Amino acid sequence: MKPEITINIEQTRQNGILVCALSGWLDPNTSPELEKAIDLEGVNELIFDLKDVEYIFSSGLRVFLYFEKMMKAKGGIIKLVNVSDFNKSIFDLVGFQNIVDNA
Amino acid sequence: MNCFSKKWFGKKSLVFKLSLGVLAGVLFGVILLLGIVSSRSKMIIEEQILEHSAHSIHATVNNISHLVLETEQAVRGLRNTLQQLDANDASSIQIALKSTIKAVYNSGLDLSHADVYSFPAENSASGMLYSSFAENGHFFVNEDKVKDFYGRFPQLKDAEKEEKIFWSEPYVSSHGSNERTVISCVLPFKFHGKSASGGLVFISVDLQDILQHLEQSPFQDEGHQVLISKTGMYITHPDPEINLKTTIYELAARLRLPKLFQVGEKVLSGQSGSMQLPYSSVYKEPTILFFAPVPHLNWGVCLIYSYRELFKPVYDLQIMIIISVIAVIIILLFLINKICYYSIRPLLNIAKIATQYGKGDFSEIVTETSSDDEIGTLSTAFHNMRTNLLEYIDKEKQDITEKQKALSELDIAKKIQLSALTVDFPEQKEFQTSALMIPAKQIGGDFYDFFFLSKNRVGIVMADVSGKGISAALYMMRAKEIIKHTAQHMSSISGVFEQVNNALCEGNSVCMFASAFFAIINLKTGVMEYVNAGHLPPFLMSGQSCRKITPKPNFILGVREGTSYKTEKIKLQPNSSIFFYTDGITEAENSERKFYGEERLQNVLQRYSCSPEECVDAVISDIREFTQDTPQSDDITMLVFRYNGQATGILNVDADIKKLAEVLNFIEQDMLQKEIPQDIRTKIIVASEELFSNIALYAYENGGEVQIKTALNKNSYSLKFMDKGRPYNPLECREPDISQPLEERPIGGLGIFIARKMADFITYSREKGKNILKIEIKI
Repeated sequence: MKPEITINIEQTRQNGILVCALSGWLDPNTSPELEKAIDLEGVNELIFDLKDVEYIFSSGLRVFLYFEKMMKAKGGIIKLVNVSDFNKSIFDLVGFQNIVDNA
Repeated sequence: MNCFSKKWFGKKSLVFKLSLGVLAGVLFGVILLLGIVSSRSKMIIEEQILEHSAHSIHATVNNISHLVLETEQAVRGLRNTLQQLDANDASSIQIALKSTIKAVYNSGLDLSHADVYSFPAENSASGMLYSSFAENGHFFVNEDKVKDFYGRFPQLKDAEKEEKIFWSEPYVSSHGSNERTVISCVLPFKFHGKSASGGLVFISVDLQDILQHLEQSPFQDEGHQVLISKTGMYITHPDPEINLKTTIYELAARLRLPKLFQVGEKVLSGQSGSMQLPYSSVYKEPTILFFAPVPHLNWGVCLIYSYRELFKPVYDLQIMIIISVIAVIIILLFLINKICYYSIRPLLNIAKIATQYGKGDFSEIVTETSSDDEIGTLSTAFHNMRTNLLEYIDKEKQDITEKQKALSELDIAKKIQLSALTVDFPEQKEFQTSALMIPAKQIGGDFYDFFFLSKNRVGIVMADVSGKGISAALYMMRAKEIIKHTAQHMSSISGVFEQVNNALCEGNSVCMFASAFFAIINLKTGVMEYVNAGHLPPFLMSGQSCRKITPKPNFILGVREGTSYKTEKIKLQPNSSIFFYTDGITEAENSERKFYGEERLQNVLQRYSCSPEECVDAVISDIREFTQDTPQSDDITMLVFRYNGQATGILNVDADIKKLAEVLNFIEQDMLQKEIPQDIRTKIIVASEELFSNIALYAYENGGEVQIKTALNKNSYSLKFMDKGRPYNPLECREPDISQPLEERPIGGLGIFIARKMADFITYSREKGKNILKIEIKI
């Protein structure tokens, strides 16, 4: 258990592909941080690496939903990779399975 | 080999051993006797033979000499007569001859014939032979012209040259129809007158006549006398193939007997003596030969004995002795067998009865007690043994019955004690307890106790009463009751022990005492108050660490009245355990008389800090592994108390989203303490985040408080969220349509949806101005 709930975001840009490696929690406190931190200018493929994300709450889901909408509007795509089994079950629960990369 | 023969001999029956011994003794005696008898008899016989053979040979020689001298005298007489006669006076010659022969016969000599031969005259080719002979008491003389005298009497040829008497070798002479083997005594003579022609006078003696003069030896049946002539010719050999045909030298050469050759040489050179021969032509077996010369004739006489025949009486005696010994042995063996049978039969009978006694059957009685011999002594002893055994068995049976009675009473006491110690540990979320007491063979003085003092306070006692047996057990029961009773009425734990100590000191005439550790644990706070009266301090186990509590060593109970005791305190962290025990564990001995020890116990406790049952099992199996088969000498007693922490957790927190971390931390810790499995924890955390976020974001307009209560139930874990905000039932909110495309969905409403999906039960109620949202997940 972490002493306080934070989110770290590591961004890597290359040829219009933005990879965001997240670590920490996505909760009502940290989700707005993520929303602000990412600049979608010139990005046509957005990839979230959720390897170090312990829990996904509804606020986190909302952020992904927001980015999904943004990317759709731009004609780009969004992908979630390294989703833990439990988190995947949350995505499945709310019908977000189509943005989770199963590969 | 020696060992083997010993073994072999040892296996044989008594009869066999006795028989063998007697047989050996008798055989040894007989062989000794035979040896002595034989050698003595042989010596006597040899002495006799020597004496008698000397006598016999001497007599024979004498007899023959007598005959020879008589004959020689007759020959000389005749010669003297003839020397006074004229050669042509035939009638005078005949008369002289006739008178000579008459005289000889009358003197008792049995002559074959007496002859006179006058050599032929100068002008004549043939000489005149006058032969005399006797027939039916009448004496006749024949006159015969003989042309070739030496051709007829070759043996007399050498006599002419001799002046003195010459004895011829034996030859066959015929007078008329009579053919006889004779020897002749020859003497030349000269007629009276100028012409002085001469002749030979000879008297022939029949060999048969000489043989009649051989002395009859006392051993005639066994011995044999043989004469040999001067040329060594056998004269009286019983074998006709040898007699008069073979000389002693020829025979010695043929039989390869150099000793026989020596005999011939010795006897014919005039010596006498004896000689042992390995073989004899007479007996065809070993013989002894005595020999002596016969004077005048230059002959020898030999007396031969066969050893076998000589010692026949000795051999006969030996055979007789052997036969009688065999008979004696047979009789002895028969007697031994009979005596042994009658002597051993009672022994066999006793052996049989002894076997039955061994099986516990004492019905048969030894009957041979009347006899006065060793068997009688044994039988009497055996009979007495039976009587004593029966008495002993009766006594033993009585003893055993009494012992069994006593033992069963002890058993009952032990059972009562054990049942008094049996504590039904209540099942409660705050703690788990397990205890084990294995009494030593004898009833012992260890005890433990566990009781509630109030809803949230439990008392634990671990004690060891000095000594063993019923007295220790009774003292223990008393101490246990006093402690429990006193503790119910006093709040100070040291006060309890002070009062208990005084009570136990009172009337403690047997000077018994007890070491004891008493602890009271507050289940709400985890605070353990304890007092130690000289007992082994317990171990405190928390996670992987295990350490000994180090209380002040107060004085033991029941010795010094008015002793004061100190109370000490320790706070138990949730999920920590206390291990109470007695020295029966640390002082458990193995076969090398080494103690189990505190260190080994601590090692086990460190490894098994799980449930109390598993911990007790681990300790006892490690003790068993250490002691192996060594009998347990002291009671082994232990009690493990595990403090789980509070069953319900309460958190009052501001309804602020910033407090989310604190809320989730509290819930996570609470669940860890209650050992909620990982998958359930994740679900609870997710659900709690949604519910708290919901309250924090929407319940109050100007801030407020949320109270969260956790509870571990028998099969579930539950959480209550209470706030005093505006009434709101999130469960009435419409479920989002998750089939809609993501981009078409409204943002919001997902949180409650997720929370509902995580929980097994979720309820909402409004009570006393509070929104109460309760979720529950099955474990």
